[in-house]
Amino acid sequence: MNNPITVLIAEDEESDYLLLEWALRKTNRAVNIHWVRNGVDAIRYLKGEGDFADRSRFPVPQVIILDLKMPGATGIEVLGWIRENPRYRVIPTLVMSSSHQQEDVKQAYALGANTYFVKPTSFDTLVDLCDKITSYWDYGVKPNIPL
Amino acid sequence: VTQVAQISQRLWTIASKCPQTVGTKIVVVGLALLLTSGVRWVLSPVLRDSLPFFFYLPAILVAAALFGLRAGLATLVGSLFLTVGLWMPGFSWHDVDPNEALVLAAWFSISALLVIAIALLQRSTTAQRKLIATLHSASQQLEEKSSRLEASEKNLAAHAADLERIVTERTARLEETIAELESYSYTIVHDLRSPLRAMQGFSHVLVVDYADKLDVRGADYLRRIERAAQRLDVLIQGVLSYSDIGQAKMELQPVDLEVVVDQVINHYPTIHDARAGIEIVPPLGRVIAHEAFLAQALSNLLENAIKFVQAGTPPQITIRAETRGPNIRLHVVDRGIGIPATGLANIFKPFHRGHEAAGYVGTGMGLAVVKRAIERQGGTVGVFSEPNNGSDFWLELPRALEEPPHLSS
Repeated sequence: MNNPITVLIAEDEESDYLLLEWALRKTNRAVNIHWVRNGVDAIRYLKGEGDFADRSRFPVPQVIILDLKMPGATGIEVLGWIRENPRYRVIPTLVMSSSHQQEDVKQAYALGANTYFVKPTSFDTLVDLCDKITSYWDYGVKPNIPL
Repeated sequence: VTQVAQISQRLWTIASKCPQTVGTKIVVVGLALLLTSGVRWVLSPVLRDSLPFFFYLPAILVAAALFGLRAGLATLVGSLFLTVGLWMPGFSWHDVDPNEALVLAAWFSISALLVIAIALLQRSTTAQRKLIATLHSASQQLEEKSSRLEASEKNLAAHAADLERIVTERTARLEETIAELESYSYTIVHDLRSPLRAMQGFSHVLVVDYADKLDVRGADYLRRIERAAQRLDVLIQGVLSYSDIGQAKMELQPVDLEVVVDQVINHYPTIHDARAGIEIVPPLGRVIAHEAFLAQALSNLLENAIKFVQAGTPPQITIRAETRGPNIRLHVVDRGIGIPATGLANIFKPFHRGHEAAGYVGTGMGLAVVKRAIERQGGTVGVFSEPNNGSDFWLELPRALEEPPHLSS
C-alpha cells in the first residue's frame, strides 16, 4: 500500500498552517507533515542542518508547500535556493500565498514553482486542493526520494 | 571745406564744453588776436609791409567757428583796425590810398565770406547735431523700452516655466500619493483576509468535526459565523478586484464580444445555471478592450441581472449591441425588479447597495468594479431603469476595425 507522503510546509501564520494540515488530513492519503515557520528553517530542513540533521525524523519531503511572505527568508528566496540546488529541484514545490498579485505569481513560476495557489477562504476548496496535491503525487512518476 | 568743417566741429565741441559767457568770448578772441599780432610782429622784419592782414585771418575764423557769426564779424572789424593801426603805418582814414583800400577791402570781403560760410556750416551742423541727438535719445528710449519689454517677457516665461514645473511636480506627487494609497488599501484589505480565513476555517472545522458535540442552536450560531465570514470575504474580494483594476496595466486589443459573452456564461457557475433565461442577439461585434476586465464587468452585470429578480421568477436577460458612432454599446437588459430613480445616481459608486432593504445580499462593489473596469479601458457605462420594469445596463467601448481582408497571394 502507499507510504505516507512527506509534506514540508513553510508557513509563518499558525492558523493557516493548522487549517492546511487539517485539510491535508481530510484527504484519503496518509500524510506525514513537517512544519517550519520561515524560509531560513525551510532551507535548513532541506539541507538536513542543525535541528533537522536527523533524517529519520526529518526525511526529505516529497512535496513542499511554501508561503511567500515569511520573515527571514521569503518563499521566493527558498524557491531561488531550491533552483540552485539540483538535488532538491525535482521535489514538486507548491506556492500557497495570500497574494494574487501578478508580480508574485510570475516570479514564483519563473523560479521553478510547480503550481501557485491563492490561499482559499472556502474550506471545500482547500480540501479539494489538498486532495489534488496528494493525488497528483500518486498518479505521477516520481523521482526517488530521498535523493 | 570739409576739413575746415571738421576742425570747426572739433573746436565747437571743445567750446561747447566751456561756459560761453561774453567774458570768456572776449578773453578768447583777445588772446587769439594777441597771438596772431605776436606772430606778425615776430615775422615783421621779414615781411616788412606785406601781408598786414593775413595773420589775423586764423583768429577771425577761430572766433567765427567757436562763437558764431557775430563774434566772427566783430573779430574781423577788430582785426581791420589792428591791421591798420599796427602794420600799415602809412595808412590814413582821411586820405585813403586806393591801392591799400582795395587790398583791405579784398581781405575784408574774403574774411567776411569765410566767417559767414563757417557760421552757416556751424548752424547746419548744429541742426544736424540736434537731429542726431534727438534721434539718438529716441533710439535710446526705444532701446530702453524694448529691453524692459524683453525683461518682462523673460519674467513672464520664467513664471510660466515655474508654473508648469509646479503643476508637473504636484501632478507627480498626487499620482504618487494615489498609487501609495491604492497599494496601502490593497495591503490592508489583503491583510484583512488572513484573520478572516482563520475565522471561516476554524468555524468550518468545528461544523465538520465537532457537530455532534453541539446542540442545534450552537451549530446554527457556528454556521452564522461561517456565513458572515464568507460574506465579508466576498466583499473584500470585490474591493481587491476594484483596486486591482486601478493598478493593472491596460493592454488593449480587439476582442470579439460574442466570444467574451460565451466565455462568461460558461465560466461563471451562477450565470451558467441561468443560461436558459439569457438571450443573445447577434451580431455583437468587436471592440478594443482588455479581455479579462471586460469579462469581469460583463459577469458582474449578468450576476446582478440574475440576482435582482422578483422572488420565484426566473431571470430573463437579453444581451444586444448597438453601433454608436465609433463605439459599440453593449446592453444587458433584464426584466427584474428595476431601480428607483433616487438610486440611479449612486449606483456605480463603491459600497453602494441599492437593494439591501429588500433583502438582496450584495457587497456594493459589483457595479463599481464594472464602471472602473470599463472606464480604465477608455469606455463608458450607464443604466436605464424603472422600478418593476427591469433595467438596461450598458457599456460602451471603441469599435475594433474589421480585420483586413486576406489578399490572394
